[in-house]
Amino acid sequence: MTDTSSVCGYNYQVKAAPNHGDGKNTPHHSRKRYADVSRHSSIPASRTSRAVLQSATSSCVRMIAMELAGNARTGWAFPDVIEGHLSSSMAWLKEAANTITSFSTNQSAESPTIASCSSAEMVLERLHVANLKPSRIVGTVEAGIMFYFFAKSGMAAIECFDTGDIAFLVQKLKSKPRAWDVYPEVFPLHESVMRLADFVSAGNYEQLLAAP
Amino acid sequence: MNSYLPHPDPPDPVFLPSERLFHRVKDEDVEGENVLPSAIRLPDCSVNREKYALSPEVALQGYEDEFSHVASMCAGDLPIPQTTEGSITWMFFVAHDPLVDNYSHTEVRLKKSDQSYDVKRSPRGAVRTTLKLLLAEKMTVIYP
Repeated sequence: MTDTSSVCGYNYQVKAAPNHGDGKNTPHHSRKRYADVSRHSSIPASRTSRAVLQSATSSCVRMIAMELAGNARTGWAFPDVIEGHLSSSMAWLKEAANTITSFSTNQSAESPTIASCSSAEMVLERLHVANLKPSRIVGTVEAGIMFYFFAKSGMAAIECFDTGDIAFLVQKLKSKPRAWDVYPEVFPLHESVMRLADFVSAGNYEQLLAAP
Repeated sequence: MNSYLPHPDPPDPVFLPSERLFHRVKDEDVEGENVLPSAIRLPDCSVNREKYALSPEVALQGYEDEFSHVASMCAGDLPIPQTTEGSITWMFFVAHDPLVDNYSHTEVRLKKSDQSYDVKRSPRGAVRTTLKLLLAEKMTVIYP
């Protein structure tokens, strides 16, 4: 499902979405899945108030904290959870979760939608597991949420759209960007985050840009 | 709040390539002199055209609470057309769209190369993010 699209005069590459024959790239079940909340959250599909989302985001942080604390005690699972790391890791996670929560309480027309906040919450969980701290989290002018990762030699971003869809973008400085969509069956979120972690942590741009 | 009613005078369709377009940007959407893709809306990115704008800062009027920067790009320096999967080619173009209280209001629009502009038709997902990045890269923060 990889597309190395030939581009008119500009050779960016796009990870292709599967075409399910309905003229749209995203299958309905995929969209629905990403509009839903993660396993750590508790937002029923029928309830969409921002208050519910706010409490869910908080519960997400609590669940992760409990999970990490439990894993730290038993000494398995997350390899990044070691003495000393846990507190700093939780600090940025809490700050990031608060940022997303603040979006959910913003009532302006361009404030992120419930679906984008839910997706951002899922992304945040995965980033934390990968110990990948975003440089910045912002609400987009399209009512979505964007995670940025800045480095000297490039930048990366994760966009959570107002629909709940998620896309990844990486760009080596002054070079063609590469972007791909997240699909549960084809290219799940955790794999995308791990690729991004390689990109940001190791600065291995060439490998990532060449990857299918 | 600014009005989105159309201006009674007709639009001026002529843009010199060197004419600057001013785009208001939030503080969090600025990195150095660069504009980030989160500041871009597709398929219609609002700007003020230099020809009828008293100053770049006019783009902030009525939006001072949220926006604090103005970025600039040239009308003749839009991203070149991009062909994606399925041989769909997306192209940017400039359209003067005067509003009743802002004659300089203009939109940098995106359309399929073989179709007329439709505000309801724009790319999704990774293609959308990429196109927003390409447009953002054409902008430079000039104010403050």
